[in-house]
Amino acid sequence: MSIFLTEQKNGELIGKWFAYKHTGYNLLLIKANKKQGYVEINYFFEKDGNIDTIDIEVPEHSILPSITIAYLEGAQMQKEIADCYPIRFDLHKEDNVEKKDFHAAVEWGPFHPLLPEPVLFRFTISDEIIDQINVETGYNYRGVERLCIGKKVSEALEMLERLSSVNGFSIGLAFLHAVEKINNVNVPERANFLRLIFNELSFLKANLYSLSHLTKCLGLLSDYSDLIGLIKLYNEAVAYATEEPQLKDILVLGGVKEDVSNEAIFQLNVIIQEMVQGLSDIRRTWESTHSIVNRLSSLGKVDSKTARVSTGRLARAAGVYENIRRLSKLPYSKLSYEVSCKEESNCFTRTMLIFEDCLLSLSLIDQAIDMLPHGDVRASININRNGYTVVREKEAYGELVIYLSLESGVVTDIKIRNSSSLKFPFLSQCLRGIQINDIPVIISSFELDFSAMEK
Amino acid sequence: MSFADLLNKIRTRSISVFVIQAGGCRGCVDALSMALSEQNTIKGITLTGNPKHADCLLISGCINEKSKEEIMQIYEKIPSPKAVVAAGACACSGSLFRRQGNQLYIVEDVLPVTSWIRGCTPDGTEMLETIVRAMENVKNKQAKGERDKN
Repeated sequence: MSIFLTEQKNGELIGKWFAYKHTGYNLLLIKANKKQGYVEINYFFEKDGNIDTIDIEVPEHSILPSITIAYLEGAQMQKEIADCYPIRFDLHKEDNVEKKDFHAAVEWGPFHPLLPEPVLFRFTISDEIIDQINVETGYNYRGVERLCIGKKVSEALEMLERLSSVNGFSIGLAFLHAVEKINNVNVPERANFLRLIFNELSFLKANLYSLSHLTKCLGLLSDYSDLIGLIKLYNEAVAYATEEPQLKDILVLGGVKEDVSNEAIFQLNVIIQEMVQGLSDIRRTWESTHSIVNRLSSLGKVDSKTARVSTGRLARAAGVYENIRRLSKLPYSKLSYEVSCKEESNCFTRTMLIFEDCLLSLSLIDQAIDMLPHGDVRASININRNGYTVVREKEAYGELVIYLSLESGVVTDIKIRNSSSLKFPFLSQCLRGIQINDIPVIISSFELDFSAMEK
Repeated sequence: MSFADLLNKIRTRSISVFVIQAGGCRGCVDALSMALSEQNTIKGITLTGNPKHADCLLISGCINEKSKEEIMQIYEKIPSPKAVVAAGACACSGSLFRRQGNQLYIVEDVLPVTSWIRGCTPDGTEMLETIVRAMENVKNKQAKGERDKN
């Protein structure tokens, strides 16, 4: 049996959302918790670093208004809640309506070599042009957030680092930053610099994979092989610092697990800086090849209104300046760097930004190694404080937000929102009206990390 | 040589693999695609997007209720003899994510597994070797079954 909220309560909630929207707040996170017969929902909004919340409690089986009226970017976060808790949102029935209309649907996925992760697309097409789209997710769901509850910090960290091969390190790092913030832990400077280097290495790897996937979708096999060569170079370089190219099991509370000798880190840098030439060559070839420029420029256009509420390269390619590194606890402020933007967000500008971000990561690694201080890499700590916090960090594809609540060193509540949750609701808009053979290119230019989005 | 033997001989020339990345970090699939792109001693393994063209099904990641049905459907569409390879800790044992009653399955719960590749993340070359050996095993078993029948 469904319970509708009274019109007055609905109106109040919608009024609050619009009040935040009109005062320039962005939607940061939506999380829910099940209580005795009730579901508690918390909406987090952010403006210039200030975080404000709307907390509501509704009976189970309630039907709530959808936040997509005011914030379309909240669609995926809301869907996650509807999938996990006995609650529904008003606009969620539209999925079912679309499915019924799909008489002659073309299905793509959930498993396909050109799809990096499982997801099912149902399209209706007329003359190879896409008419309607329904995207079905849920093939990645493992219930990781629930598994983390009741676990010690080290156990939860082990799981979170394995959420995604491309962003696992950033998720683990953001989680540790949250724990350290609650417990007021000061991480030694050398450890912070090492964390920064590894973080940038993880961005570099994610961006290289992103480029290699895009080249595969475009059918540029020789460039694909060049990029695989660069990934091999990355693996070779990282082997000087750790045995694990995915950078798992490096982080510990209060620092990093093991120190890396200066000699090893210099060797790593020498090898990794060889990439600059390779990346610049590929970029130059792409920029001067009209067929690539024309094809990519005509695809995946995102308007500036959408870009403003999005994150990562989707936003920056449309001229929205976003520097998430400045929010980080890592010593980025000691390094000199500039984040690039473009004027129109399409597949080409976003691809060019990937190249620039790779070069930026290489430059930051180089600077951090030059400034690497001596000293300890682990602080002795005692985590016994209770509390909660929201941490915002950069991941390879945009902004990552973690809500964490701790009690005596045990996780009592956790919610992770990665960049894909913000970008995913706009994918359908972008795919409508394009040719069916262009789908893989657009999806890969959106850089969605489904493993970390669905968890 | 029977027609079936001839077909089998032709199919041993190359192996088409249908890769299923179930819920996981996709590290295993990345390692496999790296190994396939490198200059390797093992050649002749290709990826396919069509189960009807596949000889081997390689599954990585934890399987949930939703992906279970799809995986079983894909398995049915692959022509025999077919091998099933479980790659990575999630597919072999559920890794850190599998708990009693949380509706996550390992490959063995869903399909008959020919070979397992353990580790998080397993080595790419090891995966290629295992695919070759799994196909050999399947074909040897089939040949033995036919001999026993005769």
